[in-house]
Amino acid sequence: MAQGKETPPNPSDEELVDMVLAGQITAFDQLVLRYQQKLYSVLYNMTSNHDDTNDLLMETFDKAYRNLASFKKQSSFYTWIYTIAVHKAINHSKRKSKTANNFSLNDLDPESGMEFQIPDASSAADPERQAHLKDLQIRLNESLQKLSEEHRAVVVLFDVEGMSHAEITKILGCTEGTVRSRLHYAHKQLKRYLEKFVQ
Amino acid sequence: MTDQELSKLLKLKKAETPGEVYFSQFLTEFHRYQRAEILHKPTFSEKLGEWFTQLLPTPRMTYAFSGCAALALLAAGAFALLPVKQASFSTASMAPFTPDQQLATFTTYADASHQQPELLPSATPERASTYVTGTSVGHYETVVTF
Repeated sequence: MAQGKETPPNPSDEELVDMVLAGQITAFDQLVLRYQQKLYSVLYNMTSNHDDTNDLLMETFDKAYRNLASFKKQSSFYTWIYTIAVHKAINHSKRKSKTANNFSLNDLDPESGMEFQIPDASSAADPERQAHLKDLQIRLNESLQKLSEEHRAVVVLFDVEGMSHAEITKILGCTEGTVRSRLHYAHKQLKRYLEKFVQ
Repeated sequence: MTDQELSKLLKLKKAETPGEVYFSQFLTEFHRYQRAEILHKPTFSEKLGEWFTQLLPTPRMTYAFSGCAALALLAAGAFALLPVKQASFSTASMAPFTPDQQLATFTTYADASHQQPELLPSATPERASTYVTGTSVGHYETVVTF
């Protein structure tokens, strides 16, 4: 514990990092609680598998903790930890696709207890429509897994997480033009994969 | 399917969460994971992988570095092989006589002293370079070599 220093009432990420580096290691727990849901969402949508997501989430926080001293504050902690998570997910998917040769549908776990709630009042009363939406979720995850890791990352960060092109540029370390072109191509591919199903 | 429809569909994926129970237990699980990691001794390949990841944060840089390293290795291999061939050729052609060879040459002429001098090739009148010592007969060339 850093003695003689008062903890701010609502510390920023950077203040929490300083506290950890000063020896108040429990401050990292607050960072974990702050980011666990956001990072889970990114990792889950990159892998479509709960167990892989859980492992990657642990590894991401562990890596962030170990390398906290190398965080130079040139970017926000938010960008920094997202960068670690996204690259972990990309490397994991590449490793997996190398060993499995092709993505297997068994890798998807639609029955893993996900609370997939479609905000559609009509579906609640209509079991057939509910089942259709569930199928749509599975098909969407399959389609995402057919994209390359880099294209999938852009789609997840932009469409699911609602990040700006500039933020994605910082996380993926590529130009804004690359982000736009990857997004355009990925949308085109996804529409093609989902077209038959939606009709 | 329009872009708006696709965008709306992808936004729904944000709702895919494992539930509050998972997140309420995650911190405890993470602490357990960290303690387990302390006990885990990384293998050499894991250390190397970790070092590369820290050194080269993006996959593109990793590929570029791997490519350069492979080229450097090939170049080093080619460089190492080429001089070996030249050295073996040149040393073979310039190899001096071994002491055994020199002794054998000398012995041949030393033995010749037991033969009749007129039968020795060195004793022919036109070979002015031939000389006779107390115990052996030889050519100048032999002596120079010796």
